[in-house]
Amino acid sequence: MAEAVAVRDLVVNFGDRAALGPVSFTLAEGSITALVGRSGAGKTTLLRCLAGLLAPSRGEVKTLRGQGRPRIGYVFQDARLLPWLSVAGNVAFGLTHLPRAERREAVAKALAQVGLSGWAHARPGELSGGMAQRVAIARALARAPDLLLLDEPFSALDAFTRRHLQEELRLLLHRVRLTVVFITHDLDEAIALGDRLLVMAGPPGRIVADLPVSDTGGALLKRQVLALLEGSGEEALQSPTLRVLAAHAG
Amino acid sequence: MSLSSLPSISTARSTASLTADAAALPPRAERFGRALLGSLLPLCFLALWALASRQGWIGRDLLPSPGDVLRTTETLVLSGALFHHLAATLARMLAGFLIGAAAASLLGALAGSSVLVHASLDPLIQGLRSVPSIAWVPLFVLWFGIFEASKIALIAAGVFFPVYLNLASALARTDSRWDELAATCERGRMARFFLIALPASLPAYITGLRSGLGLGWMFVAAAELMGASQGLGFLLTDGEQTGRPETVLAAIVIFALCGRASDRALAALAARLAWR
Repeated sequence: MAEAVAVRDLVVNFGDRAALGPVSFTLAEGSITALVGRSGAGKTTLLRCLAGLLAPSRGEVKTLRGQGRPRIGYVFQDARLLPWLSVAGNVAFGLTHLPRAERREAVAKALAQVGLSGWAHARPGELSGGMAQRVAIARALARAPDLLLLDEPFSALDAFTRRHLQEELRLLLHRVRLTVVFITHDLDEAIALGDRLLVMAGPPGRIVADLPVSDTGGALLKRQVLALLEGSGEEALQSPTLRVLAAHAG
Repeated sequence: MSLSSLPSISTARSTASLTADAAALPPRAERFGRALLGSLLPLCFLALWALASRQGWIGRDLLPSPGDVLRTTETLVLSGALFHHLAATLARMLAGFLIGAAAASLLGALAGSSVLVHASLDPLIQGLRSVPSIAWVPLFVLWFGIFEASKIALIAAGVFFPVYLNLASALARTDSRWDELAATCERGRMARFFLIALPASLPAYITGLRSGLGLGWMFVAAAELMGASQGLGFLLTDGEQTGRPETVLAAIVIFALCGRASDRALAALAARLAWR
């Protein structure tokens, strides 16, 4: 697979405090990468750098397909819908780069992708939490992003809705074939949705393991990532089990 | 399973619609009950007033009966004097409100959306706000004369402060999370202002307009009391100087009705415009 996005020597300092890095990795086109790690491991900082919401102190995020920064689709932890706009208005919010007619098409297509075609004229206040989050996903998808970023998109939802949306998102992501990076604290979600896990530790945040997810060995992978997160990252990576696991997963 | 087949979705919409319907149209009995409750105290007050007047507890030269006030109002209506005075007051009120609200909206929008403008403008406005309103009267009379302009300026000054304060503070407090959303959607400053900050501030802005309108009614009375030959405020002074308390009370009741009606009209307009 061709590389879509390259992150090179990314460092973020908040004043004197080192928050992230240096971090380097590339994202293959159409890959789905899960960022996992404890709180304070720099996952959100990394995601915000990828989105351009945070300027790195050093290093760069580069799209390898076109010029300049990649076009981003971002799904926040909360749906962050503008309550004074309709569902369609919210989805169209990030589509100023499109002419009006194409914008309408993109909105209709994105809403259809998340199963909310009949809700274009509804107001966000009429939606359940899960539906609101699906509108947020539609808003990100409608932009036809080079890079889709999701920051724990289902963390605010109840377990039942979360499971449903995870499954739907998994099918959707495999259908649209976008390059995706998402944060989750749920290892089951990471393994179910992702084809690659970037395990982070910190502060300062750094990538301590870069593991492919195979169709088999999910449970083992989960146990090992947990072991990795519970111990020191580098030490855990030296463990023969994990090396075997990584080889097996690859 | 498809997302659209989730049971929560259809129920969520029907529940939301039901809730919205319930809020928009309470049952007739509930509305009647509310109206009855709301009119209970005024009716008691009216009955007490009528009783006090009939029993002579307070002299009729000080407190005329509700019937006297009603008859005076009827005379004012039939002679056309009421409409003449009401039109004068409404014209002043409208002009003062529009000027005050427009100036406050412009400056409030600037102060609320620019830290620099806020830092340079806000201390001055906060200082002016603490000046008692009546203290402006001599200055406005000197500047604008004793006729309409000074009265309109006084009303505009009254309307200005609540509108400015509400708008500027609501714009300044716009949730920074919306900025993140705008940034990820590559929206510029204009879109952020018109599509995010302004609609987000609309409920507070409308509260400011309603407060401004209330103060406007206070100030129009003050302006007309300080010297006018027409207007509801003139009716107040005229009634006082000619020893006709029924005229004073009629003017007070009409002021109250006007204030209430204009506030209801603004609230109804706001309900159409505001998202919350």
